[in-house]
Amino acid sequence: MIGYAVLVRRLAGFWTMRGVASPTLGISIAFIAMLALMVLCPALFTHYSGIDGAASEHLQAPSARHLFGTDQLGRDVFARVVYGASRTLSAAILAVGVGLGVGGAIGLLAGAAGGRVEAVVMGLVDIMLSIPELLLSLSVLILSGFGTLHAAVAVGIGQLPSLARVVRGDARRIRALEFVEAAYGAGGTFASVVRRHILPNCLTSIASLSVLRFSTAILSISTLSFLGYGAPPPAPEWGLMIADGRNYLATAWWMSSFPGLMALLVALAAHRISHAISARESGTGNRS
Amino acid sequence: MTAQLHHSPQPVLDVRGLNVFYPARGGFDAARHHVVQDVSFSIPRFGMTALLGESGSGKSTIGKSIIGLLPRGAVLEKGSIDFDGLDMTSLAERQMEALRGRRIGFIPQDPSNSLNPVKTVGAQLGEMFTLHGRYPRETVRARSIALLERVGLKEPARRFSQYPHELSGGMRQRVLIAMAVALKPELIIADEPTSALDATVQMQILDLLDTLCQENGTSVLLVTHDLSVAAARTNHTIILRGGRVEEEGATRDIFANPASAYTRTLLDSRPRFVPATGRPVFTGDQPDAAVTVENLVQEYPLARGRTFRAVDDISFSVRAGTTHALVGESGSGKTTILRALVGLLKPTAGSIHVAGQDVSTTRGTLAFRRQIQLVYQNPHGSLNPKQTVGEILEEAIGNFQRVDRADRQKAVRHILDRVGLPRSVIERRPGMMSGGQCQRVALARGLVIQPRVLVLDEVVSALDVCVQAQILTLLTDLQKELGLTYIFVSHDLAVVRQISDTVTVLYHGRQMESGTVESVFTTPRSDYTKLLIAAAQ
Amino acid sequence: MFPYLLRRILHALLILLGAFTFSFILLQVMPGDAITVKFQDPDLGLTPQQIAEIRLSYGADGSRVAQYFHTLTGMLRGDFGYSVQQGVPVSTLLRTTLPVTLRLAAFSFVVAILEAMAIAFLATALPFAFLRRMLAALPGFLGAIPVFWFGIALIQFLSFKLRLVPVVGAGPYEAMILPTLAISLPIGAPLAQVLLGNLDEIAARPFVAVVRTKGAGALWTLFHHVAPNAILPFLTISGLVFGELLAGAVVTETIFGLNGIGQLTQQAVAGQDVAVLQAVVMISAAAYVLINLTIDLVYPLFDPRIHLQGRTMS
Repeated sequence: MIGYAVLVRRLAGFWTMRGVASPTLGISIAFIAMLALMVLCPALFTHYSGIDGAASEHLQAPSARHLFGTDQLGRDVFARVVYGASRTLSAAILAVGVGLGVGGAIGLLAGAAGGRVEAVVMGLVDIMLSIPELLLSLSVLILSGFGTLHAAVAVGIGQLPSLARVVRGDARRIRALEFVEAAYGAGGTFASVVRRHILPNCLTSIASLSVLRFSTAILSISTLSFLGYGAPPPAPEWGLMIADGRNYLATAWWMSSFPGLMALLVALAAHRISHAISARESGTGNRS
Repeated sequence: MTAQLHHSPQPVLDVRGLNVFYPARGGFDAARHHVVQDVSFSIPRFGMTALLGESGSGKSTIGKSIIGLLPRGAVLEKGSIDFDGLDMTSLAERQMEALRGRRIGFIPQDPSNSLNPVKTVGAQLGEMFTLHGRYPRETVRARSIALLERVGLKEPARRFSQYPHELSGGMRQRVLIAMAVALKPELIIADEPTSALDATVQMQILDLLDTLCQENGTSVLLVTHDLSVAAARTNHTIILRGGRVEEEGATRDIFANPASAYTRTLLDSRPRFVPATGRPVFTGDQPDAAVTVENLVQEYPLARGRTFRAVDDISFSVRAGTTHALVGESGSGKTTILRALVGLLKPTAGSIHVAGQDVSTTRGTLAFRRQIQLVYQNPHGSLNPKQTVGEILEEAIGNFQRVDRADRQKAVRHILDRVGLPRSVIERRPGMMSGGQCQRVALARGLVIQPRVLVLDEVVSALDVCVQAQILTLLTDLQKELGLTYIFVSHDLAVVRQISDTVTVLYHGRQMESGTVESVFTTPRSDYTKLLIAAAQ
Repeated sequence: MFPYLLRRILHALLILLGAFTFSFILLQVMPGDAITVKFQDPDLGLTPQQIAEIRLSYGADGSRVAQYFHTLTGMLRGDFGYSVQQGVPVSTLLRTTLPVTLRLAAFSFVVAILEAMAIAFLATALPFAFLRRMLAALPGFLGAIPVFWFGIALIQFLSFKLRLVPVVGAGPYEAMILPTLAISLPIGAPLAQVLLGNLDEIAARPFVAVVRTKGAGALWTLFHHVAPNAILPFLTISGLVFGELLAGAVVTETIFGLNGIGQLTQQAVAGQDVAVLQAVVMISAAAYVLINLTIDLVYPLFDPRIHLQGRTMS
């Protein structure tokens, strides 16, 4: 466990890696931090409700009063984006948790074990990989029924095989390194080698991967909502808001554009951070 | 510096005040990391010049500065590189491209990945001509094949249409030499051209380079860390240390009476192929053997049920408290034997006994691992970069016995003292230590559980000569104090002669001969051993 | 060569059988299958006995194992069962919808590859570091755009505002323009990243530095040495996204009102029409397996290193 001060120092050091503060990385981290705050206390950002609106103020263009305008029921779009953040983002976290928790663990153990275990497990994963992610998610959803929670789990299961494959690749690469053989030679057991050697050396790429998958999960969950399998109306969910706004695009472009823009920005920020994590890992190390 | 340029009044290349740096990495200290500082030297026309230095001396960077291809991030700060009246540091990229290959050739270090894997040898060699002029296709082909023949490749027409992976390392290096000499340049920069090759091949390649350059009147800058190669092959030497020129002069003078203290240390540390002093002499028959290998055969499965026999009928035994060396070039099977010894492989036939235990039945058990430990060639690769030295050593102790933290830490401090490391390294990670320090940590990990046998796989080959000498001394001291038995795998006969009592010479998985070091090295029976010894002298 | 070919084909069939088994377990064995869900609706007022009869008529009766083989042999004959929702054989539905989607997928695939190559090569070869950096950042941006939002925006601007492409009353090929754009941009983005990564990785290999020492310029090196090494693994990866294209059709076809398997899937999930969904899953899996097999068989013709192994194996 690292203390708070260490964490702050690490984040600061992370931002200013190689001595050059990257403005895009700084903005990305700040944006994600702001979103986290939005999720925790949405009331800080808006005094409007995310669900109720005033019918008299329907379809108003963005103004100082309604930053992102209002929708056909007079609900404040900004408020719905703010309240939607919590639903969309926690669903995405759950999805990555399911995908990485199950898929990552399978991949890690298969890659670390090697031999027949790896061949059998990865054979099963290969079979799952032959089914596109979205169809895998839909296959789960058709049975579980709809809703944000189910959509999140379905997206997680959809990501599971590809995550298993990527993590297995990493674990396999680490397993082939000399220090792993040396650890077995020094009396290590499978469990202790995985815990002390293979997992710690996979962590950076897993961290980078999970941030990246977080952004794709947001898109996938929004897609499912858009198709009508996610959050039921009137819930403020970004994908659902875009779907609602599609019929008003000619008259009220702000209804679907702002939630769309938010999804885009989160994905971009996550992408940037993920890239920085992996670049940091490869950047440190040997220079002769 | 009074240059002894008696061969010719005009040097082919003159470097003045060269500085190369990498921009600082930490945001707060603005210091630039200089890899080359104020370096001046000249390369006399004709003959070979050695640019000699250990790792981190900046020798490769200087070589790359000359052809204007510094690695990404490196900055040539100031200095001039005069080549035939041209200051190359001020040339445009296009002018440099016209110069490279045509007037200045380059031979890279590692032939295994210096050729494009998806293009034929002929296409890559022919490119030399098409890049620097207009030639009909047939001329390019004819000249390329003639070149392949000239560099000593048999069946040159067939080689022309082969891909790099179909050629051996030595053959690939010949192709790279053919490229470098194709347009008869005035200067060739050879960046450690033979360090990735076996000693016997090394000789042939250097001979070839020598002949070709004399034929064409080409001067060669030989970038190397190998003192023997520099002494034997060059007539002018520049010694580098930490990015600066330590001394420059005729090779003969420098090796006979070095002016700088550093050069003297370098020369003294160099392992020499002479009988060791102060080692007790053992005879061949040993009553209490720590390790016995009898008729070992090791096969690897290939596709479609075939097998490859990597080790074929090897037998030797090692008396407790002595060192047995396994000597051979790449493909000799020495690594396979060693992996079988520590129980990583199951022998196909034959038997191995370590401290009385049969490896084939006890391999993998803690009791067996406790007896024999392996130390790897690459000190950085064999240590987990995420662990501190303390964690690495404590883990090894904890695997074998349940002891509380305080006792473990005591044992760690004790072993660090033993291998000559300060206690301050306990908190450090491998990435922050030098190769020599890491190799000491790797030794400590092997020793901390008090094994009887230590298997040392080329443990000093990746180290600079000075560090190499220190580690060899440490190994000798530890053996005396702890009564350890060593199995020492090496390709370097000089090192083997210094540290070993008995030796087995291997060639393509077969045992050429086995016996005490002095009897094998002074009266070799097999032709292969004679060849190895010739290459070592 | 022959045993290699045979092994690959066998492997492909095994994956396909695995995919069938997996989807069968997931979709048909789990409780709450489609027929029960549809006909248990109290509004229909069917007795349990009537439901059982319906189940029998759909072939959903009998033991699970019998069902498995019934469905499997059916699929081998091209019989994918009945759509519960529409009351027609699934194969009839596929006959009209599959060509639409295949056309869309093929167009999008080509556009995505071209897009990826254009971005990656420009980001490597353009003068000025800031231009290269901007292009290198482009795939991240494109990949982050939600497809459904992008599709709607395309209709709005290209069709309604600028009147460049008709959406209503368009011919079969005109109708493909916007959906192709909508799918290919986000699918091309990760491909561009893969290719860019390959190019970077190859450019850092020692042999590339050696080519430069021969006097080759940056562009010569890129096109004669780096690209030939980077393109092959790139094409392997790009074959794999073909399956994702079929899945991406679910969203685009819904937006653009195309009557393809995408829309069929969307309706099947909404109506819990399991037989249709399983058919779509199997078609995607078959496409994936077929493309992989093709790549496996074609790859050795282009990579000399594999070629040799293939020859020695025969």
